[in-house]
Amino acid sequence: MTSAERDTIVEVDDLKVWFANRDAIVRAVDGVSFELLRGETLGIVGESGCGKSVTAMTMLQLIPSPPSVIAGGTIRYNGEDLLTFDEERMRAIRGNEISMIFQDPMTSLNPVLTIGEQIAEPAKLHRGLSQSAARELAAEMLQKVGIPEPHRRADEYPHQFSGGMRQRAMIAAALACNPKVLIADEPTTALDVTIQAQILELMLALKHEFGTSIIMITHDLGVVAETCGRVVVMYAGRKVEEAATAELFTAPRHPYTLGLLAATPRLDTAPAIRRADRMRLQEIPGMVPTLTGERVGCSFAPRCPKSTDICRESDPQLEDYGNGHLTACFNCRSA
Amino acid sequence: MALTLSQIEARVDAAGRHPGRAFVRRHPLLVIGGALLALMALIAFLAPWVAPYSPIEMSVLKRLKPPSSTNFFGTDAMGRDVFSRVLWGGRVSLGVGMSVALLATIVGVMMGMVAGFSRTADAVIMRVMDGMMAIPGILLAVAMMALMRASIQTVVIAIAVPEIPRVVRLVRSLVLVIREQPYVQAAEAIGTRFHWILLRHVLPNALTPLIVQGTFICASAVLFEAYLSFLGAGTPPEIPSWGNMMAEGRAVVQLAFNIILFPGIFLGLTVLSINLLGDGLRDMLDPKIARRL
Repeated sequence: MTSAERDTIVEVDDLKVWFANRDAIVRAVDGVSFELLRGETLGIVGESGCGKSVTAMTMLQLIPSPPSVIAGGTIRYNGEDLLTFDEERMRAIRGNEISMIFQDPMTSLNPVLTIGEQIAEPAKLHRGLSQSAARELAAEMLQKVGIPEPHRRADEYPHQFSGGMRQRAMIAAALACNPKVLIADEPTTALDVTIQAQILELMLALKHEFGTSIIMITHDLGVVAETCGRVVVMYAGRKVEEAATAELFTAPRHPYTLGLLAATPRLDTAPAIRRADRMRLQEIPGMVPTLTGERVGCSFAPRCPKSTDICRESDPQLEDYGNGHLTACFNCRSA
Repeated sequence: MALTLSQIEARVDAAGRHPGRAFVRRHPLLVIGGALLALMALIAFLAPWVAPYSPIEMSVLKRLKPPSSTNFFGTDAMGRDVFSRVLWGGRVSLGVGMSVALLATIVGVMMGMVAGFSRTADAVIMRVMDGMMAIPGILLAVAMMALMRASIQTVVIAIAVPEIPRVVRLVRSLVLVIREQPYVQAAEAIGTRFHWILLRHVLPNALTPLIVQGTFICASAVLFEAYLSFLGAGTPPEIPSWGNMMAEGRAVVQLAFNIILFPGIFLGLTVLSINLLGDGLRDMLDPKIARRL
């Protein structure tokens, strides 16, 4: 199928982002490809340092260069390659067409500006809204994200908001210009579990209202299960598996994905319930490899319980197992 | 001592009824310093109307008179009224102090921001600043005064220049912290222009320590002006300033102590008031940096 038929809004193809320091090149993102369909929520999961955030930041060209180098690939937004855009055109995209929510709501809001000013800022920048229209918009957005007394609250400062309310305010700011794509970089990591659920619910509701496509970057498989239609699993700068969420949870193929799922606590097998045969939470042994130097073999091989000689010698390519379920592993074929 | 609930309630009540009184109790330094400085500023401002004599009118008959009911602080070696001269001298001291604080802060902020954001400029600017800090401020100021014609403006410049490196260092270190804050990145992520990020996000967050630093520069500039004038390298002698009054009184100190005493008292009180105000502002604006500065 061509991208037009599938109504793709963002298409990342073979993206390579490297960081050059004095003595080595770190291949933070090394050949990642994925598509984001219009109105879809795509999850990107993986542990720390696997390149999730770098991928997201590169989409908005927010990574300073140097030290970063985009070593290859394209990021097509509505058919145009964002990587060829100059700073001026990129600025028109940021916050207007593609916006971003950051992880830590406590520090992502400027402490000396009122919440209202910060929510209306993108609209002022991109649409040239007047002061009074901006105030109105800020209050309206606060109302939409479920903050009571929006007019009064818009004039308050970030320290007068709780963590959950700040994240709501961040979402309001990100959606103020009605962007086509929202990149949420671990939007719930810094929040309490109960607040997490509220924020995710809010994001989904607003997604339907605004028709936004969301890229949900997280290391929390629970968040993925809750919100995403499709999931990309990343490991060491590469995509190792991609599948529809339901399929990924019921029929994971890549050993890394299996490991991640085994490392997730589940209520139905919680130790408290089955005290007799205590289920130990599994961990994935070892650590994420350093991403310097040429890759030889599968990066997960040193930690993989199923690794064989071929894993250590040659690089597994992504293979389609039907229904858009892609996996890069030699041992999955037999599985 | 533990407070009972009713005592706490009474205090909260009192604070509610007399917010001013609560403010005084919480920030005594700020209030005392502010009031004293305001008094000094008022005196200096009203000098033309309050001073009983012209500050530069000489009188051979009234030389070196002790304090009396006609000349409150006595007269100097040229028969000029010390009280009037002290009032007029306040204008120079406070004017110079505030101008220096403003000038040094504005120039320092600009250079510090550039240094904080550009690595290349950082290397150049900071080496020049290190070099300037190696020269004692008073020497630098005297050397600059020697190169320029004596006037109030040149005094301001000569005192401001040695103060600039301290501001640059402060601003640079603040910028290095602030520019890495997620809210700056968030501002970039919504497409904010660079100069707007500087003005709207970086500068306001650096303002608190800058205000505090500004008051200390002001206090030190008042003193510096007096040093320079005392050394004869400052305010030209036809303009009365506390520094050059003391310099002129030095020769006759055994005959008329009052000529040095009164400007000295005013100078001390002014510097004290500005320092108190600075301490108070620091405690009020940011309790966290109170121990760092």
